[in-house]
Amino acid sequence: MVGFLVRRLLSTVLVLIGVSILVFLIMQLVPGDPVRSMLGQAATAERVTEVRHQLGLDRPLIVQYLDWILGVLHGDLGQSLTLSQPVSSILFPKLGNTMILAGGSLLICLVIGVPLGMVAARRQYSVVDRGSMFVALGGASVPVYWAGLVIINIFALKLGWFPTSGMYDTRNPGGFEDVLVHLVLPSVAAAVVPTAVVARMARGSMVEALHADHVQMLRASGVPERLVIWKHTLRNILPPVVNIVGLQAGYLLGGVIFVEVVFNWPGLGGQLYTSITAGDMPMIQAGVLFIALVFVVVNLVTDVAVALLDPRTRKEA
Amino acid sequence: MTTATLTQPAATAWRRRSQFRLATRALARDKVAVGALVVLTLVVLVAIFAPLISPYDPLVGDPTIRLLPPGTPGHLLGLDGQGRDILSRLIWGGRYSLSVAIVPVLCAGVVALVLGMVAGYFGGRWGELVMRVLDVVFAFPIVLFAIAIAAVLGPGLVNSMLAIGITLVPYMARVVYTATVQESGKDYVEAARAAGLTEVEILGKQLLPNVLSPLVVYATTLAGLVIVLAAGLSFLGVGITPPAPDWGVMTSDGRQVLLEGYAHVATIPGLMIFIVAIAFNLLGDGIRDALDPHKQTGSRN
Amino acid sequence: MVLSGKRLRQLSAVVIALALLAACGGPSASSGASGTPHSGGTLAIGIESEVDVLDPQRAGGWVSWRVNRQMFEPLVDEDLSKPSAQAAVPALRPGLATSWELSPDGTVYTFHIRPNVKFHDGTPLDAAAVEFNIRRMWDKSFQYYDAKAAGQTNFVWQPLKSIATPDPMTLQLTMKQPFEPFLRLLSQGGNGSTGIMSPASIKQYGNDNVGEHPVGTGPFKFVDRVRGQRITLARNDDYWGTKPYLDKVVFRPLPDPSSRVASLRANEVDMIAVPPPDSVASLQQSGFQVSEGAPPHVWFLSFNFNDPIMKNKLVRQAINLAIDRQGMATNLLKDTVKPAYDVQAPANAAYVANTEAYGYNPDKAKQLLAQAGYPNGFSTVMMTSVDGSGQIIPVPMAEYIQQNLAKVGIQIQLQTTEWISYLSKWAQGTPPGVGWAQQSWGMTTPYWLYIVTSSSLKAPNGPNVGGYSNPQLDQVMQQAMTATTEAGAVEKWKEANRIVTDDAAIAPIVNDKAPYILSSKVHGFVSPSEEWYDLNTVWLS
Repeated sequence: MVGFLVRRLLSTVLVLIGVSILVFLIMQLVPGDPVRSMLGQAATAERVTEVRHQLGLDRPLIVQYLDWILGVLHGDLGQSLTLSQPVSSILFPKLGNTMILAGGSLLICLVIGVPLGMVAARRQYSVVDRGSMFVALGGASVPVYWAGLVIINIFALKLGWFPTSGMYDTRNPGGFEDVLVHLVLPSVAAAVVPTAVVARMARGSMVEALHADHVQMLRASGVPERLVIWKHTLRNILPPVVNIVGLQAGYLLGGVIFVEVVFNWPGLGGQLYTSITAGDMPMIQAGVLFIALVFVVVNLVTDVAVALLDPRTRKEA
Repeated sequence: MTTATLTQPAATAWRRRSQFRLATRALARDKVAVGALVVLTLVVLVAIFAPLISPYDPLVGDPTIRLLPPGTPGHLLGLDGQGRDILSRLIWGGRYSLSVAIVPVLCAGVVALVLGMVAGYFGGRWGELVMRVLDVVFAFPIVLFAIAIAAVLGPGLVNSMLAIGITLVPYMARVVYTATVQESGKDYVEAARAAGLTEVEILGKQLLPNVLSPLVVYATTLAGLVIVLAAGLSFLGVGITPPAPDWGVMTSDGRQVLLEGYAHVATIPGLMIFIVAIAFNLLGDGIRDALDPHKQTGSRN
Repeated sequence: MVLSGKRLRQLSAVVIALALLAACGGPSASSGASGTPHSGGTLAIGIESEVDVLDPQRAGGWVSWRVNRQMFEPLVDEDLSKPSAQAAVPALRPGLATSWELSPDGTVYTFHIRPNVKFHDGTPLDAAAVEFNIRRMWDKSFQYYDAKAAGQTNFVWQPLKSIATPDPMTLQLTMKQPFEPFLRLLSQGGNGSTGIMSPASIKQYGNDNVGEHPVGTGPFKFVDRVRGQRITLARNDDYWGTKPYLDKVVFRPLPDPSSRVASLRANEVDMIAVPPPDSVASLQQSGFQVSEGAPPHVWFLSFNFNDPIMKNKLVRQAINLAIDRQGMATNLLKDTVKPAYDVQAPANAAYVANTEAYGYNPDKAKQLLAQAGYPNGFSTVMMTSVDGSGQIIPVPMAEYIQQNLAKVGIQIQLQTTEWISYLSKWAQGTPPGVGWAQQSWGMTTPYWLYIVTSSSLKAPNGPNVGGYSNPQLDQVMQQAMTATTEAGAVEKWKEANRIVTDDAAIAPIVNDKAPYILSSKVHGFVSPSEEWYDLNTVWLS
């Protein structure tokens, strides 16, 4: 187990370095000049050059990259080009907000997706099975930016049960409850695709598990059905389900961008989108790095959990 | 299935042909998958024959009759914010939305096939390295990666296809790689080598069909996701842009008037995306089930 | 003109609608003043994009200045207490300078700094503090010089030669040559601003971080900011001027227009900016108020003078005549804008309506095109953005123009880009193959014309993105800028106007009315002839 962890950590570091280099290179190709965008319509070429020099953007690429890496290792993520603020002061709160949203979605995904999949598997090929899988599939096939608005229209405007957007009340920003009530609609919207994926996977694994030989044998030897399901098959479907849930967590980190835009949730996805189009290098670098970091950590935790749950994979590792 | 009594290449060829036939028959029995295939074929045909079918020019509008609802005389599905006929735009839009769903998946699939099979079969450290490099891309959330590439390339149909295609390669390559590794270890490959077949022949004739199956299933499902992703890119302004009659663009434009009571402008194209995405997914499910040996023989277990 | 039965019915409908609107009280320029104003309450405003930074000298864009000007004040300000109907061009009024004199040769400004004014952090306002601020935007050798601020406020301080403080409350600015627009430019805030910041705060936090701790002299002071969520300001009880009624103001960025409308309807905010044109009527029916004016805004096209087709004056004139501005204003934008009949905005002393050059005359347009050698039209590319500050709904508007031009044989292909990318793309000038680029801008000083048409400011050196160059125009504008009286200057600006119109260098399309939708609880809000507003007079019932 220790060897496994060490090897994974090492490859994690390598992957992160790779990620940062890849982002750096890609962003050099983004057309447009962040300094021009920063100075707006009235910028003259002279002023643009001056500001570019002040920001160190006229240095060779390799110097800029190394300078940035050194900064990161010292905890300094640099200054955002377009927001005139230290990157860390924008990044961490927004990363936190995205994780809250992703967390809420993941919770919905687990609480609804797994039982749904299991029930569908128990009643394989029935109306319940086909119906629920179709609904799950349908949810995943709808463009979120449209469905989100419809959800807002119904639940926030017409019924007034929830706020229309944002993370806090505007006039009286509150604490935990305020965030919770604002979290409901966006996390439901964000959860639709992962729930569909998890439900289908859970169903598939459950079907396999229910028909597995040793389960048939247990049934044949008179073990009550309830026990068969809860004690035996559940344990068997946990590894693939945990795996897929871990993958969904990763997907959510990036996939929530549409939800963040429609519901005005102040998360990193929305921020990265703006930064990418504005060419705000320091912001993009740091943002992507941290998303990759969280993603990789989640994968690591998932893999460890799967390894713990399923002795077979441990042998391969 | 024992093939010991036949010569190796002939045996596998026979095996492949009968497997293909079994799969097609199983698919034909699956009513849902057939339905999905019919829907998709219809949509493709409509898109191809758009110039003949479309009642109006999708790009010309009359602002004085903008936003009229479905059922307006002469405009079955109503008009959009520029006074353009929605039905015509829907018909022409198929060309954009289907292209952006199918082309990247096909191209990425080919690239992924080559990459994955070479890495998986010849394997060893080089294979591992290629996969590790692809791992770097996996650390990016797929949506952000597509956005970044789209931002670099700029908006438009071709660039959208390119951006999505590039994004899909690692995911498809991973599927191919895993399948290749699994298949490479099996007996028939050993036997083929022993029978004196060249590496290329082994790759092409033995492995390819078996690796293709999971890829085809994955690709079909991906097409369904891609069409929704492409619509999302249009929404953000980095995908296909107005005035193209792409369904994603139409839905995005229509959002502006959704709350004001003109729901049809966004809902109709949104529904199209929904239907096509579901069709792809159901077809993918059907193909997967059809390739499952249990299903092929009709056994319920 | 013979009226068909259909036309007659349409006209009657319009007349009846107008009558009804007048009866119910249509859009007003200031919100209803029922009841007496009283102190208290928090006003929540839904704004159309996030503010970039709360450093008024570094910040760019109208959205940022609308927030910053509640906290910061320039030496010379504009009187925004009168709606557009009462004041087409806002008059200048004393800000942090109580009075000023200009030397007879027009090069030395003497400002008398307002006494007994404190910054929000308690430090006093004096001539030294103002000098500190100016040097930050102008003097490269100054310890706290900021290149970003200098870049933004470039046009204001360029002609400055030297600063002197003869006594603690007097500031003397000497220009290199007379610069008539100077006073008006001091009051502006679209590209940086000259809002005076507390020197102590700059010293304490440094140029890069002072935007997190804004300290000014204005009627509101900073409370907190959560990026993407809110900017909270509270009343400054020690304010030297008219103290606001409101306890607090919260600005909430809501970039998605549908989201903005939804927030207003759900009573999460009290007023919103930039409502989608199609929502205005139904919001009014639901009991909301519309406040609009005639700000210095022009939505315009800059022709590409390096393009072989656009080089031809007749072609440009034809395009101006082929666009149905009134149709766009009424049908597409539901009268939230006015058709633009001059390159200057109406909120400008040099505005002269010219329906002959900018009216809708597709037949004459075709004639001109034939004369120019394009009887069958031609095709070209139009650049615009997907959204953005002051852009209203650029893509549908561009598509509308596309359809207008198609009727005279001109086929245009649209090139749309996301706003922030568009800004930098636009600033680099119109590339080959592009016929024109679209932008929204304008100022209450006619000097704006210089910024977009001067040959010395051709892209990428400046915002003259089409590369327009007319030496005669440059000369006239120089005369306007160095005039010693405002009347003299305006006369020259009008002459410049005529030259630009004759050259058809720019195609102005519409002037935004900048509608704000307010809930019935909001009173005292004034829509002046400016792109920003004061909140001192606003109260909530």
